[in-house]
Amino acid sequence: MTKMARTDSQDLLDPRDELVTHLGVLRAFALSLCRNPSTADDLVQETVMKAWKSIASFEQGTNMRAWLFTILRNTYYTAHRKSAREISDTDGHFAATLSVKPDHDGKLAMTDFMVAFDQLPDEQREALTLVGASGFAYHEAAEMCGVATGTMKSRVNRARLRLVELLDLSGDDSMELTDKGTMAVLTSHLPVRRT
Amino acid sequence: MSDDTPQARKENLIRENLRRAFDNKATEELPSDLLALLEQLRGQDDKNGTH
Repeated sequence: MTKMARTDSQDLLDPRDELVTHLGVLRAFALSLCRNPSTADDLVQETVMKAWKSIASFEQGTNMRAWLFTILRNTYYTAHRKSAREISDTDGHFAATLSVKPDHDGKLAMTDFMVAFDQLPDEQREALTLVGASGFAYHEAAEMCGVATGTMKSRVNRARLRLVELLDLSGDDSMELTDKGTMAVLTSHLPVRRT
Repeated sequence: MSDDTPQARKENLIRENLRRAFDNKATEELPSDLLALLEQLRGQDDKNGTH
């Protein structure tokens, strides 16, 4: 279903009912920011309360998911500015001191991926999640984050490069995947070394 | 970029893991306290006649 088609069909829904349909992805986005399931769920609850209170200001027919994600990220960053515990590491200096080079012998497990992902700076995790996982276009993600489209593209690129580094994916052309589902998707037309 | 380049394969690997991690979380059952919150918010709306 295209975004436009979804929006058209969602026009018939009460916005409060539509809000509920986005809670799953909202939790996933929250987890990518907070990296802690309990904190993420608290963030989602706060977001739901804020969204519900201002539901009258939501323009039906527009992208509710983007609206909810924006509320959530603004709430997250406001809380972070207050706590000031997060190390801003936009150049990756801190992250560079950490290593997750997995002992994967060419295999990549989900846990290794998530450990590496969690080490990216906030902005990069957010960019990858919005563009790579949630399916927003660069300009949509940029608008939600209040940055230029070029900035968003840059963040996504830096995030990908850093993940390649952390996961030690450089070098070898062939990869083995421990996950059959991922393997099936990626290697249907590629040679894969199997032991 | 051709899907067959090393760079493209790495990006595909990252993208697929990212999407799977995201989808795994997105399809989880909603926690009970979130459901309770929704119930509470709806209840308040019904009480205030806001719907």
